[in-house]
Amino acid sequence: MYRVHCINNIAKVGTDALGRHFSLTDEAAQADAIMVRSANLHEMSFSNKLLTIARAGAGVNNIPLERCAEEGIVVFNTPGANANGVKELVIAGMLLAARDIRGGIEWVSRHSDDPQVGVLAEKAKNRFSGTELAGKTLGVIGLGAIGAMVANAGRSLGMHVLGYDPYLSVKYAWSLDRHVRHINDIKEIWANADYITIHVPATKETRGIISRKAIAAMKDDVVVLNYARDVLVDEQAMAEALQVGHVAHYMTDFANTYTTQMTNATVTPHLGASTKEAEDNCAIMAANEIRDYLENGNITNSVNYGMVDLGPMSTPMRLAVFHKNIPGVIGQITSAVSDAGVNIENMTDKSMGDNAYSLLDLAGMVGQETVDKLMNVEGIYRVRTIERQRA
Amino acid sequence: MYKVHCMNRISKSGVDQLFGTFAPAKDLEDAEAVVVRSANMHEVELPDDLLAVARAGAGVNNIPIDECTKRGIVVFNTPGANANGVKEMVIAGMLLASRDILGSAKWVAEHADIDNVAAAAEKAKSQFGGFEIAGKTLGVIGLGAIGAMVANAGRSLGMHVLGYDPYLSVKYAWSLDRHVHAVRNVGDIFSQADFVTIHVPANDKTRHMIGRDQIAQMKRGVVVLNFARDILIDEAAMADALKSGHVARYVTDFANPLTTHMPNAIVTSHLGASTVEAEDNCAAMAISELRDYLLSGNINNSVNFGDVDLGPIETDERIVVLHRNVPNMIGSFSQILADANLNIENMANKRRGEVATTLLETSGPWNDSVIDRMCEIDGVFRARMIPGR
Repeated sequence: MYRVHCINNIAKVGTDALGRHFSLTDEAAQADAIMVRSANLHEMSFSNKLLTIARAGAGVNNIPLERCAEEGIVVFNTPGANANGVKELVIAGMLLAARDIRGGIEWVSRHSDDPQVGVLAEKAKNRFSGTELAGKTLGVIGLGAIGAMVANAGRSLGMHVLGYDPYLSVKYAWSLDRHVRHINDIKEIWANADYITIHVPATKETRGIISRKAIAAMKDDVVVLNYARDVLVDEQAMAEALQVGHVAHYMTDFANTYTTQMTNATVTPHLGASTKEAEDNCAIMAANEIRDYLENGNITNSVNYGMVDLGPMSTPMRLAVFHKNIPGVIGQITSAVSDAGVNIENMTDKSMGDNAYSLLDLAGMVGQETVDKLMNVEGIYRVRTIERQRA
Repeated sequence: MYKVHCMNRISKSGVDQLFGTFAPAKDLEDAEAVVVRSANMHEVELPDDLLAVARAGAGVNNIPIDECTKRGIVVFNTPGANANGVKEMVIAGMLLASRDILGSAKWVAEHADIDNVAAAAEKAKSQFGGFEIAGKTLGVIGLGAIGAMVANAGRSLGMHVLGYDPYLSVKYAWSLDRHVHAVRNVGDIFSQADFVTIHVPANDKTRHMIGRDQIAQMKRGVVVLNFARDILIDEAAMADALKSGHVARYVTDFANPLTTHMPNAIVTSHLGASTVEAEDNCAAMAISELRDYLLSGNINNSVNFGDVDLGPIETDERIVVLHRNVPNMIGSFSQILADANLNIENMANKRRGEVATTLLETSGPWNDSVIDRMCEIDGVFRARMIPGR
């Protein structure tokens, strides 16, 4: 029986998805796994028992990733679980930018007590009119879980869609509407798109990707949407482009000292994933990740260890070794197993940065002696044995 | 060259198309055709030479239809020209009803100057959260140009879609996504849908189509959208249902003293067709209808006479007769043509309620008395000859 401690309120559908080998605990010190949303874990010390932390959501800057890696604690997040929630917000953002629906609603509300409000609305409505999305060109930067859904939605709304993603995966390439035009030069998006939306992670390369120069290269009256991360856009340059009317609207989910002072910006308070479905999906996905890791040692969607998947347990024991990504460690692992007289049926090793994870299917069982031997090897952080559970 | 008067400002592209073919009439009294948007024509004097009125838009209650019919004036509208514009409003309406995007944007605007607005927003945001439309059930009442597009959009957004339309045309049936589930009983929509949207014309049969009883059948927490006409919904009953929380949101494009005071209503300022594209499409469609009627006698999308279309004129002349739908009309016309030694090459007759349209294509030496004699027949509103090849 594994124990799971929830630090934030986690949707019940999620904790239910853990299955019958799991129970919840209020004691973090007793837990094999922690489920968390946005609570800050940087100051928390973790017990020796803790094997994994799953973040129900995408951003992980509330979690000390490097410390976890060195303690052999696998940190998961749930990329894509909120994808549809963000996609729907992007569509709403485009529609609110195309016509001043918001202004029209506010106008009606200000004139709510006028008995002639209907007639007056007919006269006033011109100032809230606008354009349609159909027939316009949408540029999507980043075609991951969210970007691919946004690109397809654009197509189904009758838009021309340009997609840019130098790291496009087969999975998302497959999911894309075949009329989404894949472009290799991001400049084509600046030059041609009426709507530009960005869906990339915030990294050194992507920081400020919508730069002053990029904005200058955009069409007049372009609408820019940012439901990814504020640091992707040079918001100082954006403020100026809005001021002079070069950019018609900036729709952003990030309130900060720049965006709240912009003209023609619609700023929402980080609502992209604020739906019941996204929370449920995140919790379910986090639970599945925890379950597959604790029961099988498999790692999917970790942010501090590489992806390793040997499928369900097919031998009596699995051996999992967390180690520094340095030469010689794998040899020491295999010789320790062979010293125990046990054959290795399958083995996989995956590195991520300075750290690596080895997973071995063993034909027989190894004991504490082998584990202790491995723990003495320079560069090994943690060793775990998983016995096959009776069905 | 026919003279056309524009009662409202129409788009530049419309003007360009119009006055390539027709001459502008500065005053209504000189016009043979009128293009109108929402200007009220009930109080204006219609000139005797007026042949047609084209409404760039769908609703025609600014036009005296009965009077036009009796005077042989064909009234056109432009159904479907604004369909995509309305469809996009309906999508926006569903999304605004699902998450309080507008309330949250207002919150940010009101807290623009506080310290650390980002952190404050993270704390405040849960009050604006909601749900997604994917996976929910959308009920579409009326599958014409707009309803069919809305139904397809619902499908592409991952919704289950139920469609109801007892008068569904082949044209729109064909355009529908095959996963739109047609229901024969509108009650199925009321009992199953999470979103109900209505896209039917307003007439005696559809008035209060969503009434107190229908609302009572709906699921608790339903969202009702009305981008068609306010009288389709019993808004007093809607106000009560919103107050009790039975209906979660009423999204309507019609501001009136009832809707503006409803709790949880999102009232837009009749923006359904307020797009550049819809206006261009409406103007282009209205002008093309006028051109086809004035130059060829063909009628498409009339609201007071039956649609007839014999294509381009391929004989010496075409005669257009607008008349009451009473016996022996066609017999009388053919007798007059026979008396004038004119052979009938093609003919089309279309009834609409109590009136009918007849197109006759003839060849032979023309005689103006033919039109005079037709106009003398009791029940003929107007007869007109258009020279052919």
